[in-house]
Amino acid sequence: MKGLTRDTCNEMIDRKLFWVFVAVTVLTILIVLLSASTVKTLKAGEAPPEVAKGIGDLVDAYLINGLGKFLSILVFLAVMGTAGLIPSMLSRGRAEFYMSKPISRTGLLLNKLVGMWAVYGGLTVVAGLVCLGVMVLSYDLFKIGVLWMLVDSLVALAVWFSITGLIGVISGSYAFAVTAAFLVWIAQSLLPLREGLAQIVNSKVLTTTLDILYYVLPKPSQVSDLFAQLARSKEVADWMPLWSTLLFALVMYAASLWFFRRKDY
Amino acid sequence: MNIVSVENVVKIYHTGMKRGNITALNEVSLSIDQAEIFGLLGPNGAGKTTLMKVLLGITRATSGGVTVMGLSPADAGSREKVGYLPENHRFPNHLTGIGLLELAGRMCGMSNAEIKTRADELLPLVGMDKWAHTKIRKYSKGMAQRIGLAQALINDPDLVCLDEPTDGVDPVGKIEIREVLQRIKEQGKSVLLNSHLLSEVESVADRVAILSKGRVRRVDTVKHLTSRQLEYEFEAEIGDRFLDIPPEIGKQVAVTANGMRVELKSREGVTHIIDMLRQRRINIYAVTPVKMSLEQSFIELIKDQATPGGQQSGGGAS
Repeated sequence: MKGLTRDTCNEMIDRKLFWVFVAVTVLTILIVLLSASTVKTLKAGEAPPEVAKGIGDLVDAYLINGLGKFLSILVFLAVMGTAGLIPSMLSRGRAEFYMSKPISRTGLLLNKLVGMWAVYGGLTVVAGLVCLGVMVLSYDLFKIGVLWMLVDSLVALAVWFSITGLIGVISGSYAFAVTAAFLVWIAQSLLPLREGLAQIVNSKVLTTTLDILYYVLPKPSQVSDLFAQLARSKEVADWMPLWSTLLFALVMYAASLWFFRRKDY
Repeated sequence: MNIVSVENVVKIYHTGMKRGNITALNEVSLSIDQAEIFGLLGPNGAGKTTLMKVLLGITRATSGGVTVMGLSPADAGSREKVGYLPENHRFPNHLTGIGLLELAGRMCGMSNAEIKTRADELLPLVGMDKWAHTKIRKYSKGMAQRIGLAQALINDPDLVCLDEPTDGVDPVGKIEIREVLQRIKEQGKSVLLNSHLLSEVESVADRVAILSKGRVRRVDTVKHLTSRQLEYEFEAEIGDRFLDIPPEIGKQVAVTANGMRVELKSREGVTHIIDMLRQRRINIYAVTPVKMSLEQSFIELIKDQATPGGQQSGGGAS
């Protein structure tokens, strides 16, 4: 990785983002510990089988949703914390340093992006595992499927980094990179509701546009729902959100490399 | 052997509709030999930094041929034995001095042991051994320059490109950097030096290229550039008079404290003047060719060769 992963790690520690991750994890663990007695009481209570099953499902949902929310916060922090890394690396006076070394432009950008993903993904997974460990010990409950939520966070990081990476390469601006990620996040939250909107606004052009946007743009929220299904050991009816999101990320990465290889610094 | 070869390189920056195109380099050709300190001189916007960036593949030439170590700058292998200290650098300031050397070394494919050995040599060389574990953001400009020089040398390069290396460095540090450059040269390595300080270039460079508005105005040795051809100073007892030198031989251009300065039509004129002075029983103590500083030479050249515009040239691209 030509030292860029360690550099990203050093940068994360220097930016104090590592401690923000630690703080969020500790806070989550405290919440888990505080809620442990309630969950245990619910589980231990004598109840008819159908009620007990309902309680079990509730606890499962609490475990999966709780972990999912916690990981989402970490992904959000990671995206905010890394959106400036590419623009910073390519800023005047710094790009010359990196680009004067015997690494191709493709290698340089890929190393940086993979370094970011490895460092922040690794930190997210470790924090997730610590939190999951505390949950398992506190609630006396473990489902192997919950680990899918960690895979979800890694996929989400790869998708968001592809957006901030491309905008960072093109604009060289942290603000633009964050804004682009924010706009995509809003769009991907609203687009699943496009059918409702199409019923209100009776426009074929709008309906088609929204359909295209829905299929083109990534769907991290729907991908999270998909992984939550897997975590609950339920069958996934439609894999389209996952593959279309991964395809989007791949196109974004390819575009980043294309622009980076052609740009003068 | 040519370490660097540049042939008819043109670099045009497209800056949008309003400002049009900026020609930063216009048919630039030059070469740098092994074990040579090559200076790049020119006013602001001459294209010096752009040329360095083209050599390093940081900026791509619009047309023309460039090879570094026999390879195209587009090939990352061309930078394997090249070190670069950029102008106005902003090294990653979350790193310490040693951290920067480690990163630079790893990016050059060096092992940890190699990096440590090399860092132990370089840090004292640039006077940064005491500050190696301090964050770069706490460095003064001069310290940042010194650590920048060390990172440029980490991979024991055969070609070192230095863009204003003494910028912000104190006078003692400047002398130390000059000594480092000489040492690099003695090791058979080449240096491409870009500096506004002409006296600095004059004292270390073997050859220089003078650039103006993106064009190479002259490539020559410092010796040739600083010798005023056919102008001689005669240290002789002539008092404050002007001698009646025949115009076909030359003319006396000034009376100096110890004699006179003459401008000759040919080198043989020296003998004529000596004969003339001896016929008049004037004692002659010394005859020396007049040298001018590189700065004088540079200014004369730039003034003389102002080119008519047509296409917008230069303009801060460097």
